[in-house]
Amino acid sequence: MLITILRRILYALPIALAVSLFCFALVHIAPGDPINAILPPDAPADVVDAVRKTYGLDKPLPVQFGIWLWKVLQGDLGKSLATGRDIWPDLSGALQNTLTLALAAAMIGFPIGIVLGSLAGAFRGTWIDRACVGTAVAGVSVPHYWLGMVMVVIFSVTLNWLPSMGASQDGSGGWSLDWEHLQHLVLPAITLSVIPMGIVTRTLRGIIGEILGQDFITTLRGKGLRRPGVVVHVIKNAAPQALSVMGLQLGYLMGGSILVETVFAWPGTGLLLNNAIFQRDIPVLQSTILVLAMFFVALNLAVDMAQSLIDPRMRRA
Amino acid sequence: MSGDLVKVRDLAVRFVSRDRTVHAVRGVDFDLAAGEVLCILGESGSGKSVTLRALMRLNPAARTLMEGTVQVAGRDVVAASEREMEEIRGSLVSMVFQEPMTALDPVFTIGQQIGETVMRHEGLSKAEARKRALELLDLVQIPSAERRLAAYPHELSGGLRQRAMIAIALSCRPKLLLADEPTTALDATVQIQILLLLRRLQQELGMGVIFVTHDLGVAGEIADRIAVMYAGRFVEEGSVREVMRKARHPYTQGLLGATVHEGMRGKRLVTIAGAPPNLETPPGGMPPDICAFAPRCERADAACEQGVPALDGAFGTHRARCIHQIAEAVTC
Amino acid sequence: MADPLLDPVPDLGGPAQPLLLVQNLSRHFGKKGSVVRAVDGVSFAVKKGETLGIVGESGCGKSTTSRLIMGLIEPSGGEVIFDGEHVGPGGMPLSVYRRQVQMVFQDSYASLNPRLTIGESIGFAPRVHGLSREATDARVRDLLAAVGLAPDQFARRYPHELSGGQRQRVNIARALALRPRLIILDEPVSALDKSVEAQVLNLLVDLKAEFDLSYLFISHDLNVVQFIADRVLVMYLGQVVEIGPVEALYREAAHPYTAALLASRPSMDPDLRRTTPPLTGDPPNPVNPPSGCRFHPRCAVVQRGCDIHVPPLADVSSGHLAACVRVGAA
Repeated sequence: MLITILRRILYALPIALAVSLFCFALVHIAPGDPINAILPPDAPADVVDAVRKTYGLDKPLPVQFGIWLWKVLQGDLGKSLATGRDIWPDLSGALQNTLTLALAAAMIGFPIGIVLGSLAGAFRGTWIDRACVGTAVAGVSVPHYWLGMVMVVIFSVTLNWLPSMGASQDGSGGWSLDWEHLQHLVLPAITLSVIPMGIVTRTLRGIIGEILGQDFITTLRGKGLRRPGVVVHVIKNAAPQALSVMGLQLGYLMGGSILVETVFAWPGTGLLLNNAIFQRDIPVLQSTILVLAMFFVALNLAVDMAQSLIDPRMRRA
Repeated sequence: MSGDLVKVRDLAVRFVSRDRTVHAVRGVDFDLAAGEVLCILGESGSGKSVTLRALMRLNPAARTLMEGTVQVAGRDVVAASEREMEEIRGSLVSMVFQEPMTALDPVFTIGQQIGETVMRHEGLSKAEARKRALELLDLVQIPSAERRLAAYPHELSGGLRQRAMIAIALSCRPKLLLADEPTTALDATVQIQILLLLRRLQQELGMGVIFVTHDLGVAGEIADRIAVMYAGRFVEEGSVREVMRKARHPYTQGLLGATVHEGMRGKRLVTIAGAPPNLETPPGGMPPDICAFAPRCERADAACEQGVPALDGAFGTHRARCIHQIAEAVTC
Repeated sequence: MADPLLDPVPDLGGPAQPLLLVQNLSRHFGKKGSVVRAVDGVSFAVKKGETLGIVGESGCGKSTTSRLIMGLIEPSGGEVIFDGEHVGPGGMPLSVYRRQVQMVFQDSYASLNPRLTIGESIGFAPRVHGLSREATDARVRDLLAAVGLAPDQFARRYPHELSGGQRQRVNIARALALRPRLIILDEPVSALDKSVEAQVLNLLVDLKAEFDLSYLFISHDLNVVQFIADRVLVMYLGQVVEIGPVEALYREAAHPYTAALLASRPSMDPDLRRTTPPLTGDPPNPVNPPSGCRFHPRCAVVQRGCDIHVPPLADVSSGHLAACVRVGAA
């Protein structure tokens, strides 16, 4: 078991390295000399050279990558071009806000998706199935930002029940989950939960339907197991696949909330990215993408490990 | 025949969906005494597995229509509530399936899968269940039982998996064991081991066994009585010797002739022309009331299309569903 | 001058030359530490006009052998000689070889393209080889008739509209489409009901005579092999343990494994029931097989040294060989 875990980690390392290489390359892939992003186009040549030297841009690319990676590993993501401040403090705050939002959305979307998907799978072909699948399709099809705006119009503007902007009145965010912060969380979390809800529903419907059609379910019924006894088997068989879908969805929630964060002015990484793009703040862009991507890699690793913990057949590979 | 373990009368099973009805079993009658082994012999689509599953009411509940009388040790299987069936399954009656790889849950250990049955029916504790599971693995001759308890199905060979499946089925000492082609998926040298194991356990435990197979050799090894099934009905029933040596029904005779065995080299194999009838009808429809084998039968004449022949007992316990067979018997 | 596509490739080596000669064929899978010796040094011949049966249990390498002969997988070693000519680079080109050797698989459904009609499936290879449309149509009709399917009824149908037995007939017709000389039949009747199995076996016997074929017939069913084969080869864990004429081999098996395999057949006669199984345990895994004679851990008559020395195939009688120390000694 320990060996399996170590091997999985070993497999994840090259992926992480490739991701960081991609993030590093982002600066160089982006059109134009990176120096243009820092200096005005008409800057004198000696200034350009000096800046080049300061940022290490005169060294060969592999060396630049090495230096950059070393700094990143030490938590030094560089400075923002727009504000001139260190990136990490801002990013870490935004990250916490995004994580809060993503977890909240997952806590709403996943359980609903699991329940709807299991019902649909267990009652395939009946009206229950059609109702659950209908809900799922609606969830996946409705555009995020549109739903967000409709919710704001209804619950904030018309009913005036919930706030529509930000994570709190005073701009603080993170993990302080008091009444004030919770109120701010409700609308964006619900908006964000709709797509994963739909996807989890559809996936679970497929998984549960398939498992219930397998021979061993007949064996279990033949042993006289009551429904709860059979359900335990179904859950353990469904868990590996379900976990991998949910892990992937959580990853998308972390990275894919740009629109929702923009609609609700949620001070998360989405907003940060949005601003960085419009300000051509490449270091911020680079760092945010890197951190989010690493999250994704870590998440996949966690899912992988959970899967091999549940399914003995996956332990060898 | 009182004291029978199984009594089946006029059993009919239909699978109903919106656009069609499949008449899988169309009137099956038989009795099984305690400690007796009945083989239901038939080709694919004959209704043999459906009949077997009907004895435990394991056919998919939502689209199955079941009629007739099915009694197992005096319990009415057709009328029983789902709750009662759950009590009966695995304790009074249990089943061994064809493909042990798919019939066992891949993510639970063998020990867990045996244990949950005894914990469910006999209320044993985890430790007691483990002890029972060990005894059962010894009973089915699985070597290094202790280690195998913690094994997952994919870690065992095909033969060991089927032994584990048998251990699960026997865990609550059923009076009736149903076996659905339990040796078909196994290698030749393993198949005979499993057959011998089942026969020995049946004798030691005094179980009644209903064994479904398409293989005449398997039936010859294990059966006391054989019932030949065709198009949803028994067409011949008798002791294993009677059916194997003096088959009465043209279908049984054809099947025996078509089965390749010793000494047939260089000869032409007997074949049965055509294919079994389609038992699918539009909803509410019924397949025609004629001898189902008549369209393929060399002996068939107009009389064969006048209703379904009775499973006739002119030869005592050896009965066949064929009017010409009866005529022959009367004349000779 | 005959059209090369309408007629079979002519005999080159003469009647004494075996049609197919397999020499020291091996196929190992995996890396060091856990090598699967699926096929390990297998040699045999298929004579012209004969049916060679290959029997053995799962993991014995019989299916891998057939795929090696067909060239569907690359061998780790050994060679295939067809009618006296080495197959592969420097010898008979694979394209010429493949025309003369065809294969029929167990799963009649999976081996037919569901989107092609039966006629299109059978006519596909001749068309690809440049036979005219008219000639192809005529050949398809002939072949369907030869396998007992009325051409007018079946040529336009799709595989899912056919029964298992009918589909297997179509597969046989397709295998015949290029007028091959050798057909490899890999468990061709194992998925069929008994009454249908008999029909297909009769058909195979007829076609062999009609088209002047040789068969390599792979099966786990010893009764079927006894019915159809002239000679039988028994495999165990990737190796040949016995080969010989069907009567001799079934009458007095020389290898203990063959004997056990034969004794494992269930008997239709209830008075001949067995009481003890001929072998215990399952066929072992071909990963890291036992040393010496691979059968020695399960052998009832194992001797000292069986775990060390690999017994060679030795003569039992004329044309009957077995790989067991007891054969050499006696």
